[in-house]
Formats: sequence, C-alpha cells, structure tokens
Amino acid sequence: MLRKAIPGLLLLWCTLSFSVEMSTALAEWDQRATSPRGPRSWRFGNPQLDRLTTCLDDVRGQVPPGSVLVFASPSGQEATERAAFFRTRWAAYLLPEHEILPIDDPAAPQVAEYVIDYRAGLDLPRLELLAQLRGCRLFKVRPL
Amino acid sequence: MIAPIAMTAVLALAVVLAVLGSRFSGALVHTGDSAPHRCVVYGLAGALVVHLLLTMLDALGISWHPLLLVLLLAAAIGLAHFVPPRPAEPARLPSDLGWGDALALFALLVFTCTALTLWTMTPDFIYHWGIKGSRFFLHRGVDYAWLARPWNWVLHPDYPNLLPELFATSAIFVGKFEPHAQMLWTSIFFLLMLASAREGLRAAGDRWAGQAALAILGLTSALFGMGHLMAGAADWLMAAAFLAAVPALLRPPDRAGDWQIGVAAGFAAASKIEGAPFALILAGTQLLRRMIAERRLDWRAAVRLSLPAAAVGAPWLLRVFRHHLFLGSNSGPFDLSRADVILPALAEALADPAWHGLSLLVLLGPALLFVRRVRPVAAVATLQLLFYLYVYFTAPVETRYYVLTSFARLIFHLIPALIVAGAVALAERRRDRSI
Repeated sequence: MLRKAIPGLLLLWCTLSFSVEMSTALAEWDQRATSPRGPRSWRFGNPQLDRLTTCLDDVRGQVPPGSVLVFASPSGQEATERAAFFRTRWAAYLLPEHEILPIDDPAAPQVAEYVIDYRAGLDLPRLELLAQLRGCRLFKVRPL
Repeated sequence: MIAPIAMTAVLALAVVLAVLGSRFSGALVHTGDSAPHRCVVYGLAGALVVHLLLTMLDALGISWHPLLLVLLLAAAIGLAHFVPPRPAEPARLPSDLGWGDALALFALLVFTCTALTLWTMTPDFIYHWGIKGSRFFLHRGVDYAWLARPWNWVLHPDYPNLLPELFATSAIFVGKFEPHAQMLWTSIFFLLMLASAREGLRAAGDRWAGQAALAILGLTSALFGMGHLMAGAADWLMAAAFLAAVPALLRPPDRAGDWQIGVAAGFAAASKIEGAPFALILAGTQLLRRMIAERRLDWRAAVRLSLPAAAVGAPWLLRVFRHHLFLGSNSGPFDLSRADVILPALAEALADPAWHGLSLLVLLGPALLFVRRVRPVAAVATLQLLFYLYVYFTAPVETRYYVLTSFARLIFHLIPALIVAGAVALAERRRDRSI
C-alpha cells in the first residue's frame, strides 16, 4: 500500500505542478511584448531589451572590435534593483567582441575609449559626441 | 536559417562526444549496463577528452580553428581505439519502455520547447555561461586575458569552462554563436539524467516504483527548469554527473564502476567550481566503500577514481592561479553567528515557488543514510549539502542575498539522484517485508 501511495501522491503533485509551470511559461510568453520587467528580469522578447539591442547594433557599426566601452544608464528607482548594473551585463553579452565596463567602475576613467550613454544624460568634459544612435548616444573619450 | 544549422551542429557534436567516449568502452562499461547508460558514460568521457584537448590547445597558444578541431577529434577517436584493454559486451537496448518513460520524455519535450524560445533561459546565460561561450567562440579559445580584467569579476572568471567550451565549439563549426541552439545542450544533459536514472532504478527491481520515480524525476526537473529559468545553466551538468555515478554507487564496487564514478567526478570538476569538492566526495565515497569491503587500500582503484578529476583539476588550478582569477569572495573564516541569517534564508529558499515544495526532497539525503542499500548515494548528497552550508558560513559576501540567490538552484544538483535513491530504498523496504 505504502509502496504505491507515496510515489503515487508525489507523482500527482509533480504532474499538477508541472502543468502550472507550463501554463505560466506559456502565458508569460504570450505577454512578453507588454511585460513591465526591470533589467534584472529581462528576457529575450521583452521590448525593453529590444530597445537596448537596437542601440547596441548601431554601436557595433561605429566602434572597432576589441575597443573598451563604458556603459552608462540610469539607476532604478530602488537601489536594490541594480538596474544600471544589469543593463551593463546585458550590454556585455550583446557586444562580446568588446570590453564593456560600467561607468562607476574604478578603472573606467583610465581605460575607456568610448562611452555609451543609454538615457543616462551624461555631460562630462572628456566626452566628445561621436553619434546620436537609436535610443542612445555614443561618445569618444578624450585622453587624460 | 542559422538556428536549425546551429542546432544540428550541437546535436552532431554531442554524438561525436559519445562516439569518442565509446572508444573507452572496455574500461567504462560494466557487464549488464544498458545502452542508454552506456551513452551517458560515453558522452561524459568524450566531453572530458574534448575539454582536455581544448585545454592543451590553449596552453600551447593554438586557436580553435574548426578544421583543426575536426582533425583532432578524428585523431582522438582513432587513437583511443587502442586504449581499451578488452572489448565490451554488445549493448542491450531497452525493450521495457513504460508509462514513466513516456511522462519523463514528455516533460523533457515541453521543457525543450520553452528553452528553445529562450523564455526559460537562465539569467546566468547572460551574466556567466553564455557570455563566456560567446567570447571564447570569437577568441577561438579561452580568453584568459579577458577573464582577468578587473571589471570581469562578475563573470566568475575562476569557474571551470567545460560548458562555455561546448557552447563555443559547436558555434565554431557553424560560424555564429546562436543562443537558441545552445539551449539544446541543457536538453541533452536532461536526457542523460533520465538515462542514468533509468539504469539506477533498474536496481530497485520494482517496475512500478521505477517508472513512477522516472516520471517524478522528469516532471520535477522540467517544472523547476521552467519555473526557476534554468535553460542554459551548468547546474544540469552537476545533476547529470551525480546521476551518472548512481548505478555504480548502488552496486558493490567494481573496476568499471570506479571508472564510471571517476569520469562523473571529472565531469563535475570541469563543470562548476562546486564540482571540485563534489568530485572529491564522490571519489572518496567509492574509495571508502572499497576499503570497507576489501579491508585494504586499492591504489589502482584510487587512480581510476581520481585520474579524470585530477587531469581536469590540475590545469584548471594552474590557470586560475597564473592569471589571478580566484575570487576573494569564495572563501573566508567560519562564522557561526551567521546562522541567524542563514537558517531563515534557507527556509525561504526551500519555499521557492519554482520548486512547488519539492525542494524538501533534499532532506532525503540525511534520511536515506539509514538505508544500507542507498547509503553511498545519500552520503554523497549529504556531504555536498554540508559543503554548500559551509560555504554560506564562510564566504565574505552578503549572506542572505547569497543564500536566496543560490540555494534553490544548488539543491537541484542533488534532488534528481535522491529521487532515484528514494525509489530504490522504498522497493528495498517492500522486499525486506515480503521476506
């Protein structure tokens, strides 16, 4: 009795839980174009990510491979969101041929060759506007 | 159009790995091993050989040109033909497929469909595994200079690179890094998990319990994979390595079992940083079983158990220290006062909605220590669990965040093997009562 009852109940629970996860995944997939997710939870298909990808596609045409790029974007409303951090990680993934570091990295002032301003509104004396791209600005960094 | 070609490349590479591993069949196969389990052991062994070849190319400063890789793979398959000391018996295909197999394969299929859309892709594919694979593909090798950049600490530069290497190698054959196709690796490891579990469950000698456990394992892995976003993660490799060792841990120690466990240990050590202690625990458990059974230390068994992990671990450690990749956040002094933070965080992590309460199956580890038949599996799971807890007490990072972002995922390494062990223990209990 016990031999079948325990696995049987567990199997039933697993089947129900599997159905829930499957339908959740499908429902979220259907709503991917209207998802209000922050950068930490972005997934392919989200419009927020599509906007960043568009900007970075333009950057790719302007900057030689292997360049050191600093990425700047606004912080989230709450510090725990770490929105700028996660946007930078996405930028690094989407531009693997480049070196990408966040603007608040201690090494940034020394090593940066270009800066991507993704709606951060940067206004720094060493930055020279190179191009106004779709959804972002690309700057060349003047040497120290 | 590139995605189907890239997917074909992933599948073709997986087949080549298994063919390469099959050259060692004389050493790896135990009498009576089924064809699916042989494929698992061959696949893991082939992946280890390719990992070592790529490591050698990196050490020599030779880039991974696709033609060179083809030649090396062909040469490795040819040369390895001379390695086996004796031919293995012909493989036995499973003729007893049942409802549990069907349910598990259905779960795998559904998971694969969601993974291929990238909707259930792990965020770590972006922050860790995928970006490394993509970079290594462009660099035609492991880019240690890039890993060593101070700002790239977020990529966990000190981790072993087997999974990014598999991503990069399959991409090199197509000429493009295609994330959709790379998700197939997860499905392949999921399939290997099912094949090994099936072999382990044969030891239960109870068809109904075996089929139920297989279905539970398939559904649990798929539902957690979808709910916790696990496609593209390296945690599947750890779970597959543990399950690959389970059949050998469930029978009395033997030569082929030593090799199977050794290969599983090496595979885990090449997959993730926590795979290194897992390899030690796995190989140590089998060695201890041998010492208890034979009342002596069998040095040849020790070599069989430790050689694959040592072959993987030594060059990895060399590279990590040479390029200063080891992160300070990995270790620190043991701080018992953290228990106040760790225990509530563990409870919270166990209640992760993606597990649907099934995370509690990890408690089978200590519980099954009292069942003689499955004690080796339970011991490995319990020791690895204790290692994870030890890390929480020592790592100099924000503890609560660390536990909440890792524990639910780490226990996935253990739960699939514990489901198999639990089913075997249940069948054992029934058999004891019927005698």
